[in-house]
Amino acid sequence: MSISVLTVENVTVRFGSKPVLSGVHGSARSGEVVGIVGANGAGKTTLARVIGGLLSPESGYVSLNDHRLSDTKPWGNGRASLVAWMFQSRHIAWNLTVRNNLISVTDLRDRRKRADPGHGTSRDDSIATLLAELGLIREEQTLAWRLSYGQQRLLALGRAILADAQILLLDEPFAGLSDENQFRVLDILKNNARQRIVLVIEHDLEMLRLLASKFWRVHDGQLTEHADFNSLLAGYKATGASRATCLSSTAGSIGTTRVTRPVPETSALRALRKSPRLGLYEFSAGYSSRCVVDKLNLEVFSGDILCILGANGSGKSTLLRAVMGLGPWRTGRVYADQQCIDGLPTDALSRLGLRMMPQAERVLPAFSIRDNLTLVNVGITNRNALCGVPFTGGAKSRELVRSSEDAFVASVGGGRRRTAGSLSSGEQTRLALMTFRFGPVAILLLDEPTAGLDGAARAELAAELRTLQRRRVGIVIAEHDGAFVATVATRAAELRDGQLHNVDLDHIRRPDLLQDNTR
Amino acid sequence: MNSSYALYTLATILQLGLLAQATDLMAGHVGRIGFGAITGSCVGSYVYAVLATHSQQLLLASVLSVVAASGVGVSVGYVAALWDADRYLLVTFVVQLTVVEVANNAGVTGGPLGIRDVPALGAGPNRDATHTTVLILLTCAAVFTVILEVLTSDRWRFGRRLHWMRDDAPSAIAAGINPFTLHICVSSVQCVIGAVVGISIASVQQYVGPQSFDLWLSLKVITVLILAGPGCAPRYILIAAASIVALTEGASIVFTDPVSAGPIEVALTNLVLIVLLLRWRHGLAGPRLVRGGSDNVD
Repeated sequence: MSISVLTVENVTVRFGSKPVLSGVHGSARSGEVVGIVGANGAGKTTLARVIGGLLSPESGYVSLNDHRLSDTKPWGNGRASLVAWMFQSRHIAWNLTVRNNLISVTDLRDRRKRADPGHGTSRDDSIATLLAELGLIREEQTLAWRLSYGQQRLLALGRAILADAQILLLDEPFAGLSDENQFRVLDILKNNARQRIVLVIEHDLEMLRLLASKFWRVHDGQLTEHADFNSLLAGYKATGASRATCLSSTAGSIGTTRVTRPVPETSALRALRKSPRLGLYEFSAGYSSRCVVDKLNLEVFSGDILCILGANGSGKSTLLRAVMGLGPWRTGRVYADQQCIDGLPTDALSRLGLRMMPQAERVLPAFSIRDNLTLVNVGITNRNALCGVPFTGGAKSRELVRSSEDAFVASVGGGRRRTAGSLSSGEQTRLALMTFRFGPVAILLLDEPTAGLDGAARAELAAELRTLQRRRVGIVIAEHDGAFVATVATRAAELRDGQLHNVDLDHIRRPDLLQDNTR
Repeated sequence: MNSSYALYTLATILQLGLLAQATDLMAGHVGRIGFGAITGSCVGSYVYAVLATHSQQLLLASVLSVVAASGVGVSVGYVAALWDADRYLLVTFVVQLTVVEVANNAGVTGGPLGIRDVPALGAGPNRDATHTTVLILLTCAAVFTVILEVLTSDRWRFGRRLHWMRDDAPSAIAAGINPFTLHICVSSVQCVIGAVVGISIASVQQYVGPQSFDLWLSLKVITVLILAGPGCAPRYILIAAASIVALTEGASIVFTDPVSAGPIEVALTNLVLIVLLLRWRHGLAGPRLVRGGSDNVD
């Protein structure tokens, strides 16, 4: 088996006048797993798009052995055998079944392998094996859009692996996955890395430490190569990065930075706890033939940060969406501040102060940053918001929006005209969270808020949650990141078999799993 | 019932059905709604009418009109691959209006009067033109329906590629599917079907004019498509076309008063369509197509 060498040579990319990559160099050989790290907006995905041929660099090139990847279109002759992608968001064929999603990849793979008599594994065998590895056997004939977010991510990963290309390009493969599935993915990647070059963009350094054999750090438009994890940490220290930045999601484990605990219970908060902000009673929800949440009872009080844990597909997103009146059928009673809100449409709930940040599509991509900060609160006044919701309208609010916009634009660069769609995934999440500062929010539902966030952004998120908690907002978070949950939650529950089961926060310790895996 | 009326109605059903099938190939299966099929039909019809009138070589005129329409298909397909869905719709709309406008003013196409006494394909001294054209149309409808069923089925490689491109173009392109080849191929098939319908329109009416391909026809085709459900199996589109024609003809039989017939017919037809679509939101046979996953709920 010949050794493949990927070379990134003097690549420069600009978006308008903003340089994203400035003459970066890097190399990797087959058998290596390269962890690509950097803050949100540093240019990791841009680098991946250049390597994948989806973006032409202003100067420089990317080559695999003698083949210039940056000079050919992705559909060029033989090109598909060189690079396979797993995108950051869920890029799958939504209206095909899981099986047909995988077959459509093997169609392309088998066409180019027809000339190679050495490939013995049949299509059905390779798909069956992969489905078993991904834990999607039961979903084989399910339409992709019916899968949960995590399952869709697993399917996207499966498609990338099945393409059998020389370079496997994975953009945040662990985001949105439960612990069990994260280690499942870890095993799959380790098994598939032997004869390929695997490039993994990831914020979860714990996972990268277990997986990557070398690291590329993208910082200030430059790429720095590090031979091992310790060298990477030394590199962070050398550039003066805070621990929170370098140890991304590791607040509860290998890092030393712990986001401070939420606001302690005060007498004022205790008084407010007499009536729940949000109450679900005998609440059931599901899809046409399937009950996902079964007669569940839940109360969320002012200042609560309730984290809902659970495996991918357990129904966390379905529960939040059903509360917001988004799609799935639901039965039972829903109360907000002792006011029955059963059957109210989503926009009415939003005006009342029941707000949600979904798992994907968190911003209005075609609109500017300021429009995103203001438009979501259009039509919302104190008059129709839930009682006790502090909301500053008028000049004070406009001033707040302006100062927040200034701070955000300064941190992401690119000027005021930049649209939200041009922000990186992590920056979009930060922007979406900021919108809740300016409107009346009584109850906030967050679906996987930490997915795609670097360490600094997670700390910012935790601080934002603390601010909302002080505003007596009741917060419900569907989350997989145990370390984050242990840090910010006032209580946690696991959604299993359609019911919530209380979880002791002291028992949420992901390092145990790490030790098991690395033994 | 008068047999020539029945034949004319059948021809209308088949023409509408085939045009809607061709439109759905791009709209339902590739995700690009536009007027490519009607433009292909317009081009095919005029090319056939001009050549057939001047040369009397009907078969050659048919072949050349199909070739001309497929040329339009290649251009429109290139635009579809290059631009997004909104601009594609706009471009096909502009192309259709331009073709109609050119036909309205050019001398070779007869100007606003159109081309009269177009020789009907398959007509002879002892054969009725409408009868023969309907037979040809029936054959074409059967053949095209089978071809489209195969092309758009997820059980076949081409169908999976179409649907992958429709659902998520970035990952399809990154995986190595050439968007230009795919769009040009589909658009060409769309325009070829349109051309066949165009030839049949010229043959049945023995006349082609600018009003033969006006916006009303485009709207009727899209109505058929919406009633059937974008992305459904092509056979259901023929059923939807039959339903629309039956509805329209039924209304015209019930309301015979020449003053009120037009508005009442249109209002009644639209009312029935609205009720049907309220009951079947995705059309009579259309699958529930989800875009981008933001909508992953029942």
